[in-house]
Amino acid sequence: MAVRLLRAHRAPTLKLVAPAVRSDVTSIAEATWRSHVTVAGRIRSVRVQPRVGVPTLECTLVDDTGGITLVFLGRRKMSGITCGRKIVAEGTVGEHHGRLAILNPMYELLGDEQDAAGQ
Amino acid sequence: VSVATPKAPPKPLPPESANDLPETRAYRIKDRLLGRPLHNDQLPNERLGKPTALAVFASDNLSSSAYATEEILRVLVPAIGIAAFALVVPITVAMLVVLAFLILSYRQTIKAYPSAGGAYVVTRDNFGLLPAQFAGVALLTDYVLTVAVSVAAGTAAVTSAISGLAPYAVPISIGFIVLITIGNLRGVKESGRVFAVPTYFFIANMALLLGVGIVRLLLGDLPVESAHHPGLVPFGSGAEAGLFMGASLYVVLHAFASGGAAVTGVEAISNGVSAFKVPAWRNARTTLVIMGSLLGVMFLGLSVLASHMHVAPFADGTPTVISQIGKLVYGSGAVGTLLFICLQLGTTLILVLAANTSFADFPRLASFQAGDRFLPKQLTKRGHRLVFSNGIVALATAAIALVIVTGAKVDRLIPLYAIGVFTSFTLSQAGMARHHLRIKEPGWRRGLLINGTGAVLSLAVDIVIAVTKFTHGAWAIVVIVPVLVALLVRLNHQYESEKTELEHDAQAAAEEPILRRHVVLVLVESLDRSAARAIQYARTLLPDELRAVHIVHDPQQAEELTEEWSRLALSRLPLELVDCPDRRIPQCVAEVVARETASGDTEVSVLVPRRHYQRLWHSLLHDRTAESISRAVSRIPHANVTFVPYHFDAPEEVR
Repeated sequence: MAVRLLRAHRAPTLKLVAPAVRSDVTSIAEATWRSHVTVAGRIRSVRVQPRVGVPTLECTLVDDTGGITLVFLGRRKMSGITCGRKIVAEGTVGEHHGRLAILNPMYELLGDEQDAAGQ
Repeated sequence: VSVATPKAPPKPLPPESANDLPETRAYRIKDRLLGRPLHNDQLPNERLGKPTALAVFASDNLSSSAYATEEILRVLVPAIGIAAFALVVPITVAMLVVLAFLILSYRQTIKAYPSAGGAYVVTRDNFGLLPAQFAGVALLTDYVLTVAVSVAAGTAAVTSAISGLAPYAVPISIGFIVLITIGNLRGVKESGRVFAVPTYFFIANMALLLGVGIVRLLLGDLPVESAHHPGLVPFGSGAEAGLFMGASLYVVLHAFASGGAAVTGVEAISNGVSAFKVPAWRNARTTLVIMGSLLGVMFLGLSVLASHMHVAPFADGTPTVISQIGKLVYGSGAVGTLLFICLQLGTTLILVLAANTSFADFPRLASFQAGDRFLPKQLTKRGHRLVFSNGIVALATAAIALVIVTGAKVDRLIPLYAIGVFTSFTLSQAGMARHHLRIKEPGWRRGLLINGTGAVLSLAVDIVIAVTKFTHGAWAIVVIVPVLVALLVRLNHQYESEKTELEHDAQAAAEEPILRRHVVLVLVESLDRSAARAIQYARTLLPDELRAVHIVHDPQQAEELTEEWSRLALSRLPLELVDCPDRRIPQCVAEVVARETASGDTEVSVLVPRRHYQRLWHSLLHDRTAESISRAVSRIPHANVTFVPYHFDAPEEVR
């Protein structure tokens, strides 16, 4: 309930992502376990591990319908995976620490062309 | 068991002064201004002898004589002109009859409620809480008015003596109120003795004034004022009003109502019976009678002198009637002038002290009402010097506002005055009558008769005051008191429902199974020493999940922090970077927390590093993000905020 209460006051202009850029993009809410999906959205948060921890980069991708975790195993850093970036990610939906996740997805940066060219 | 290394034997605990924490600057200022804090044991339990008690409790009552005659004349003179001087004495006598009954009635109250009397307690015990709120609010408003009236009248006494100060009446009045407030915040104990001097000085001055005046009156050499000073209130013509016509009856009643201000303060002794030496109630009764007699003599004497010398009040209040009487009685010789100055000084002092009586009574009454949960709870708190500091400040604020609104004019304040006091008289006397009917102590019939008559008489006077002064400002009180009572009742409902909720099954709630998961989030702005403190603290906790959270407002900084974090040699402490597209950091943190608690089985602790600055201006250089984050997060159930302090300019080990 608290979330709804807080949300009610957020600025309505923050549309999370542009309308589907690719024809095969599905909304995150429709992603089901063990299916192969292509989703698009904004990276809401990125989780980095300190040196001693298991090298894993996790981030949360959200669109207007929901959110899903993207996990890059064995990596500390992926270029372009920063907070607020808009990306399209593709992969098989699995599970990571009890949450719905796509492990080692393929991804493509959206928006800013210069940044995208960097990869 | 090894005894190889002899251990030092345990020592006693260090003295309490050894771990004194540094005091804040505000506290140090307060300490300087109000004196050292008093220990709980120092609660004034000193008992007063009759002479001191008279000085402490009578100043409000006796001081009324300084303006009561004037207020009667102020009504009479414009209406019936010269005939006013014939009517002022009969009206005074009528008022004194009321006074006599009140004193008789309060003698009963003092005996029946020797510990904590007062209209509020008497009404509450006999009629219940709601009528008691009327008594309480009526008295509270009147205490505020007493302060305003006394201070305004005291200021008028100053400006009567030094006419150059007349334009500064409002600042002078506010200055008096502030002085009295500080004095009271320092504590009442000292003020007991402070009271004695001015009260007796005033009594001596009045005795001298009335003595000289009456002697000169009997010798027949008192001067008579002509009614042709500029600035006097306009004289009405008595002929056309016809002294005993209906219209004049109204004028007489109106004058009587204005004179009602004279008896205010009678209740002071009944509020403080416990402060008297044993046998408290007997001493209190004696003091009450002495006080009433003194007031009666002064009031009557001044009215007689005013009526003989045809002293009329001035339209703007200065010089006052009492100062005119002083000038005329003492003459203009050197001795006369000296005596006149003494009289003015005495009047000023007692009027200002009368305000002080309210400062003793208002906070106590407010604390009673707050104790019954009809006023904000803060009013029950004793402050630095064991007085009800919040009540004192509340009274001062209200009185200053009133003085500013009315421009420190006594005649604008008087119509508001006395309704409250007579309402509380009526309720407390009726309460006493009920008390006699319930308890039926020996001699209850006599008590019932006295208190019944007192109640009826007070009610009659109250109605007269409300009706005759209605258009002059009394309407404000007639409106304000019920509104305030309604407000208090609303407040009470709020307190009661809070109490019901908080106390509902508290034991079961404490024994409920705890939530399954505990997540600790450390807010990190950048990897600096204050964040390090928070991380250190977080590592002492043993949560199910621990992570640092950084709200991204600057991608550059986020990048640097990521670099630094991935070099950090800590396991199990991931850093989460959270996007904040609308730059509202507290809201963003709250959302992160809300996502954790959403499952319903998680308790979240948010650790917020907070910097502590040694100097006030240092903290002005920074915003108060930590506080606003805490406010936003605290709105979420099962979210708990912990501040982790970082102290600047402090020795390494205490940071």
